Amino acid sequence: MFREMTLGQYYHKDSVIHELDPRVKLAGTLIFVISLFLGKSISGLLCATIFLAAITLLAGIPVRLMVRGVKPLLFIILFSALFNLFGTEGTVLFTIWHFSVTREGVRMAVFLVVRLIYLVMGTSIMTYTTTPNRLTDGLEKSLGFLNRIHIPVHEIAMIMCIALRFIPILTEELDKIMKAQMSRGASFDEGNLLQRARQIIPVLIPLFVSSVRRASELAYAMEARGYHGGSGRTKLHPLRYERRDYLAYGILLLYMIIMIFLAVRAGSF
Amino acid sequence: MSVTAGMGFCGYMTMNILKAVNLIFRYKVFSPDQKEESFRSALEGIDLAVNPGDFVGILGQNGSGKSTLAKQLAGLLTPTEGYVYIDGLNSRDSNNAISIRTKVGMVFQNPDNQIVGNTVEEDVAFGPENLGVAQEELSGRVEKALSMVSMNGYRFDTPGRLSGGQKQKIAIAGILAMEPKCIILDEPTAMLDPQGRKEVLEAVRHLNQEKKITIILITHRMEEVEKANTIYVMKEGKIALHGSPEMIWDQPDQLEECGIRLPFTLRLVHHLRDRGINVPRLHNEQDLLDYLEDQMAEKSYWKLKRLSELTDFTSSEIPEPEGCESPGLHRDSGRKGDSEESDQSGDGGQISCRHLSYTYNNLKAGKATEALHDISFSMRRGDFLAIVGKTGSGKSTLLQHLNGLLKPVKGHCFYDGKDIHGPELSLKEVRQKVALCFQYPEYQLFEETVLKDICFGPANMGCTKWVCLKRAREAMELLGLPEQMESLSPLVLSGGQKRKVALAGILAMNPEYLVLDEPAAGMDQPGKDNLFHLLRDLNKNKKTGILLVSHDMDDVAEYTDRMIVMDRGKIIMEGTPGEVFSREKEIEELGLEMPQALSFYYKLRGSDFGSESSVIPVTETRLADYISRELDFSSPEI
Repeated sequence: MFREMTLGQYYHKDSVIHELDPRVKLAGTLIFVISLFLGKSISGLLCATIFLAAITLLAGIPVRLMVRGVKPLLFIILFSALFNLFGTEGTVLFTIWHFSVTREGVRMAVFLVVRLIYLVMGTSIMTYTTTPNRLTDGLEKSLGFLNRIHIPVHEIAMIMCIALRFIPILTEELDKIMKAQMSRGASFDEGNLLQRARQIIPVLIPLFVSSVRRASELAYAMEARGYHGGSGRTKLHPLRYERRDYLAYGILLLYMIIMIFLAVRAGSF
Repeated sequence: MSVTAGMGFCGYMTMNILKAVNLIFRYKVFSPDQKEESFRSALEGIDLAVNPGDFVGILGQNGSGKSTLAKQLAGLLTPTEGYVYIDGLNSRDSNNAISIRTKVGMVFQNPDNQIVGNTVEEDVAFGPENLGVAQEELSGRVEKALSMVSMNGYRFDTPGRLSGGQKQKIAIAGILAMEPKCIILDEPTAMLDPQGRKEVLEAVRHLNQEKKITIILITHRMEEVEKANTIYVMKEGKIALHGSPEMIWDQPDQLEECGIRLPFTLRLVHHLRDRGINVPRLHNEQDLLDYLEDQMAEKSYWKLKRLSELTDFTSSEIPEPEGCESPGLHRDSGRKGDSEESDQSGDGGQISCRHLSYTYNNLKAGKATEALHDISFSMRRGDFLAIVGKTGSGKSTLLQHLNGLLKPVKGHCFYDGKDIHGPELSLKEVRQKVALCFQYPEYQLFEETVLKDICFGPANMGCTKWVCLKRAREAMELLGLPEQMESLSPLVLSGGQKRKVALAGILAMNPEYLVLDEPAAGMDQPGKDNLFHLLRDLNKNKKTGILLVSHDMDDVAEYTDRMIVMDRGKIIMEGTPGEVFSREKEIEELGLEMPQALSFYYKLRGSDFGSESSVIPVTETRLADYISRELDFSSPEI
């Protein structure tokens, strides 16, 4: 039942983008998202389009995959576009019933749709090209400064890693428990909301018990392998900046400067 | 050693890599009714010493305290009383915690619950990373550890894609990468199929013999520690027996008391002795084969001598003694009854599958994998049927079709001649008639009390409360669960009891067919015997049709009437165990095992022992019958 479900959307390929340090990609994503909302100029949008297209091409991610990522959000995007289309005041182009479409409205709607789509695509490039582990590593390292204010960054990263590791195991287990209870006559799609909520109990409790059992076994296993927190740990693949990473930072900086320049020229500020 | 010297009791202590002195361990138990905490004793005065390079086996049935002892020896638990010394380091001293990790490693039962990394190399590196091994050295350690368990090719794989045996080898590599002197393995093979078990045991033996790593192997299978230097047998938190394997085997009664089954060769010796043949207590298979051949040669000599005296006697006329049955005949009583019943055909139809195919859709990969291909078979009430095949051959997928959990992509499943997914039957009805018991059914328990949990099935089937309770109590009695247990939470029970409760929950639905996916997985010998006797009784007395998936060919040969062999989603053989196992070559090509009795028989025959048996001895008793018949020329039947 849940067998089809897959975690993460890492798309394996040997590309420069895949090899980049996850910290660069995190920073890049952040910069790209900010840049999208910088200006309202067509030239700015064009620049962002070129940038996104270039990265996608470099990463070798098929266009259908990029489009697929947008699909689940299509409804929200269209809804907000319509809202903008009819809800903006300005020069009226034409009127349908009580609602009038304005020139400004069209412009707003187009910008919004493009921005939202780019937002989704931009962030999914990161998840397509970075394994969950590298992503966690990157977060751990780039958020390391939070340690100073007593936020256990290493521990949080470890929890994320273990969660990633166990999600497929627990989904399989969930599937099994559901089937076992169905074999005992349980059903999960009958009755009203309250009844349905109650039907989940025979699945939730065994799943919970099993997670606790697994957690305790894992704790022993980790202790047996000398785990004692983040201090004094070394890493098989420590994050280390290469030349391409510095180059990428340079490109990102350049991109940001161009975008700011375009925004200022268009008078957004 | 420098550490020990500092601690002042070096001398004799450094002799042993592991040493337990009067080790006692109690743990707190919180019972729901009495609010005070009480203590339960898990280990009661263990004394044990392991020399460097040894292969030590620790045997014991479930609940004997062997896993607790393992954790104590690995320094993961601290003794309540007494001491554990790991390469001279006292496990009570918390300063030793990290250095102990470099001396002894531990591998656990469930491979899934001990793999931390999302890739193989990441997981293997986890231990050394924790020890702070320099980054330049890490990659080399990973490579070396993986090659020691011959898993180099899988360095960049994700653990989820590996088989159970491979995962367990990764877990071992993860320990090896920490370069310990000693590895403790806590039932590492309990959750594996025969192929995986073989792989892991070979890897462990290799580490001991070639790399001189001390091995402590905990198990409830005697066969796995036949080659050990020393064996400890545990019972109720104490060491009941201790010595070399030979010394242990010479105490069969005590072993049985501890719930341990003798290895096959010795069991056969016992069967032969029971039949009045004075066989010496040989534990090596080859020795026994040689002995039996010698005996045969001697007998033949005497027989020839007698033949020359009695001229008109030919050996071919030896009538088959009465104890000799064909493999099918043994349970034909059951099968006859069954055909009679189908004539009456009142209560219960047959299950059948016609041209059933099933494909799993893998959305991400964008391709479909065919799990079952054109499966047709049928079974009636009173049948005792086994499905065997390698892991991934589609057995479990097939089982899930029989009660409508999965819907065939092509073909149909019928119950009593009606399509399971057709309008004439409701799925609930099907699931009541054809009960499916998953592997490790104890993981599905959820109610507050045992009784409520057992009632869950019948209540879902629409039984009144009174009927539910009646059936639940009947089921509990069938499984030998005491009445006092009714009001306990299922979660406080031991593993074996939990499984019984889960089975009771399934039996309480009063099914006509019981379909079980590896019901004996992870069980010790007494538990297994109990289970199979129960299934046989249900089959005989209630005419419950039993269909089970098993990897243990001895069980299949012993208990089932008919078996189906699956490979890559297809049924490729069907027949009585005798018929199927006589196709020795094909079975081997499929990577399946033979019943031990039958392989022994073929080895005997291969060395020209006696005459061919008219029936194929697939079980130990029949093999013993055959041997005693062949050796017994002076018997009155001649």
